[in-house]
Amino acid sequence: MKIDLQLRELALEAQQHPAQSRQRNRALTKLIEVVGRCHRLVRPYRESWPPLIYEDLYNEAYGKTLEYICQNIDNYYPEKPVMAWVNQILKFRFSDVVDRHMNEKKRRELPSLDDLEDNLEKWLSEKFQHSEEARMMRELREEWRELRELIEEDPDHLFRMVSLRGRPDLTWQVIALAKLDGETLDIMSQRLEVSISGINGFFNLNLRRFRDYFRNRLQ
Amino acid sequence: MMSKMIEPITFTVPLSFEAHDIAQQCAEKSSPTKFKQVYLNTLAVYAVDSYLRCMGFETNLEKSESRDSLMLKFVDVADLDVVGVGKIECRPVLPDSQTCYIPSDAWENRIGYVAVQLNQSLKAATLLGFTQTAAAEIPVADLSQLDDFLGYLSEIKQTQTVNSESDRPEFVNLKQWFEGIIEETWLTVEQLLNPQKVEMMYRFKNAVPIVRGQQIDLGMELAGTTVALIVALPPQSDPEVDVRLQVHPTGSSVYLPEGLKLMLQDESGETIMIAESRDSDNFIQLQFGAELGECFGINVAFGEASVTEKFCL
Repeated sequence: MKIDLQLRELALEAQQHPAQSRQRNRALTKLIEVVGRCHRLVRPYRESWPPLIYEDLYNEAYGKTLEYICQNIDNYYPEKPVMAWVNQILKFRFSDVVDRHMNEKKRRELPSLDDLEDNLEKWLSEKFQHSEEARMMRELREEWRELRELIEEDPDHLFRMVSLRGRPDLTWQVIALAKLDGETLDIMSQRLEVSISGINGFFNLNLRRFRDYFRNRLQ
Repeated sequence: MMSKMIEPITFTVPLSFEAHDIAQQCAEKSSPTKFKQVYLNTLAVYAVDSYLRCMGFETNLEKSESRDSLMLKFVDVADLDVVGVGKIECRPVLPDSQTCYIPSDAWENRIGYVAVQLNQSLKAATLLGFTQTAAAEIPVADLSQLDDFLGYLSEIKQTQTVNSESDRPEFVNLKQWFEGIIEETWLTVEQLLNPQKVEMMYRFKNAVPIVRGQQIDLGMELAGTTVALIVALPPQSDPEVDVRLQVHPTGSSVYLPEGLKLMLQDESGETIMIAESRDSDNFIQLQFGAELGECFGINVAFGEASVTEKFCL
């Protein structure tokens, strides 16, 4: 079959060049593309799972298979057809995925873009029966609020003590609060009349210094 | 560029349990308003990570800000740290969109940006292409090929390997420059450059900066053109110092050759910033803040030739 020959050629081409080389990567990319569209991939244990769950299990296994093929192309023996090799790997990966993910009591549905667009809390409370997930958003709000309070109150006088060079009005506290409230660097830069790299460098540098403090204070 | 039509190469990564679990974890550590963005960012990073590992590159997710729970509360970044290379920003692109948006939080400290298109069900991510330079909005059609992206990463990796192999234990002590102690090998701008080029390019709020430079020898590659690396510091040291670096042609040349690179590397040798000369550039520049005690590397490269100088403040 023409596809078999093409795949074998691509596999051999990849093998002939060193890892990370352009030629190998081009061959691998093409090989994956052909494997993906040639409709010769197996669907192991299809009958054992409802279609929606099967799709997710299969996708996970397929992704792992692609990684394996790329990283182990040197282990492919040309006597064997490429598709046979790929399908064999896919079957093993599928079993791995089942073991890893199907032991949980209730496998949650993966959100779509629409799910993330809508009211998140609505989605979370409706889709999840676990009280854990329902509590998650509340905890997230709490953590964020705590962090903001800590920076605003600055009980140990840390965040107001450092400011941008030449701008004593722009303390780390001012910058951090603006960022927490969602202001982007370009807007901030225009508003405060300071360069983006000035703000960025100053913020990151001091965040590094305050990291341990935050870790101790917020647990 | 060749006139024949090149088929755009894309790479699609399936997104399932593992990807979504990580996305959920990261989104949970961010903030209520950032939840969705962090979720999508994490999926994009996951896809690029998978692709790069397929192509033989090593990644370092722990070193990425996009996995840092504290950082995620403050910024919108989707960086992926590639070992021996630097940070790549992985931006999610919505299903029907033709534009890649890069938030200003990610305009610095990145060697490149990859656009990743997510589908409506969030079960597949397609790498569309990349760009070296950031902009708020980039049309997908303007992106460069994935193939070139890999080549670009390899180039940077090679440059850094070459540098680590050369034995240059000494560093330039910039802290002493503030005390007026400057080695003779560092010349003034008047001594180095064409007098017509000596303008006040180095304004530091009306103060006179400390500016010195050195001729850089890039051997046969430049075929007669020599360049100078110029370092400019503000007149006084502060805990954080605004450093400016420029590369200028010297002698009779007005323009730099195209493709000359100026790179900033951190102490571990990873590239943080790059400037590259295009057609008819008089000079190229990098500007960044460094704190006292910090060390960094500056690499000037052209073709196969590469020179690195280490500095400490």
